[in-house]
Amino acid sequence: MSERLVPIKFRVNDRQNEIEVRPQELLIDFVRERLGLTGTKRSCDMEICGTCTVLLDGRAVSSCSLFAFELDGKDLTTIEGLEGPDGLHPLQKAFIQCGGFQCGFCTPGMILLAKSLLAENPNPTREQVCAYMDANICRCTGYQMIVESILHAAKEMKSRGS
Amino acid sequence: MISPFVLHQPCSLLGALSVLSEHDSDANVLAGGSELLLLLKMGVLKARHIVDIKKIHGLDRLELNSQGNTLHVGPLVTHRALEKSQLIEQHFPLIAEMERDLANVRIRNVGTLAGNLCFAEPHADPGALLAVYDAVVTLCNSERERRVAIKDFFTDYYETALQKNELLTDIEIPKLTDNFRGHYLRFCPGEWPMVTVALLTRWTGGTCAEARLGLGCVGPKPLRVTEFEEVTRGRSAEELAAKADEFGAIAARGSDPLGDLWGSAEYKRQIVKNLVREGLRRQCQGAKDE
Repeated sequence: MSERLVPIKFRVNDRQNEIEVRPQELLIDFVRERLGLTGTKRSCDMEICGTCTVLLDGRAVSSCSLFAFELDGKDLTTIEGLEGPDGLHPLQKAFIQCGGFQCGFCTPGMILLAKSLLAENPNPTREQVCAYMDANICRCTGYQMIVESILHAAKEMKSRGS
Repeated sequence: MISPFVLHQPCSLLGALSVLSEHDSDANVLAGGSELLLLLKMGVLKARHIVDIKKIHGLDRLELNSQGNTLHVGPLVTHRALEKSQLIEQHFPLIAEMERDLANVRIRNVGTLAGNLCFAEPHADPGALLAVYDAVVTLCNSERERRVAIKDFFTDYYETALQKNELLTDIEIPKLTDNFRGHYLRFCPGEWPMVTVALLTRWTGGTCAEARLGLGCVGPKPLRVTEFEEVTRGRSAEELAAKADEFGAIAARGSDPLGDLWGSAEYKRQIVKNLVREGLRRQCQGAKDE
């Protein structure tokens, strides 16, 4: 079958990009292998575990189960895009401070999912954090420290007005 | 690894339907992709042509008709859009409740209600609930469109009445009158539900004038339990509550589960019985409190 490449325009971590992709190319492979952003992890490969979470136009999605061409016209955020001129994002700092990870494999996905939660609901209750974050799986922490990290980050972000 | 395919991104419904009719059995529709990509990655499905319908304007329609009594859900409406919609929260609270618990937020952000129906995954949430709402879907090909009741749309495990050259273009959900009570109950120890129960009852005074019971995940397709609906009609809230166990057992007998990873057939029937009993008791209590 003759392969027709699909031209796409998109932003990744605030940088504009134009590139051609094969139709069957998965977003996770595109992100890891062609953009070199290996903070995005592959695990279950079936939209359950959440280690491959990225943000598309601010919404959390599983990059393992989207085609790369679906990036066209969108704004992609990966974990590499969170650090700003002032250093780490408050969520990243909070995960370090509160011990929100052990092995760290789920952490990029957890932090991005938490970012989408706080964008939607800057002041969540513990229950709301738990309900939202049940999308992603962690096999080390038992989740308590992750929940603490997110609540801590929400408080920090609120006090800084960011 | 997904096998190569030809990507079509039509900008009109007609364009999409003409690609589907041209390639028929070789073409698959892509909306959210949360089910399609799993099948492609597993190699269960091989697509030579993929028709991405996301560039077609207007397929994300989510609104009441002009009479205000029927909801129209277009094929690009995501679970998340339904979950967050004020319209759904106000007029279809059971659907909002079902959507809040469906899969996880990443899937709800991309997956569509229409796509969920088209793949007819037996362990899915929406089927039983749409069955008690008497939802109707519109299926279109390049020559005609037809309306199919949801009970006739699902035909078997992973099978529907949708033909390969057709696109599901609309889901119609009639609004319930105010005297209905409803519950959507699910038992979900993992990612997919093991049993889902949708129960609606309509009351005049303390008497049940109508009951609708839908069961999901416990048979080849979501089903309505006619026997339950018939025997509960005309009975008082006191009697239904007192015999809730018995009526739960009727519902369980009406189910047709397979033993699988989630549990044995017998265990699932027990769960059906318990959930129906609970739903019925809560609704009887509500009717008595009025």
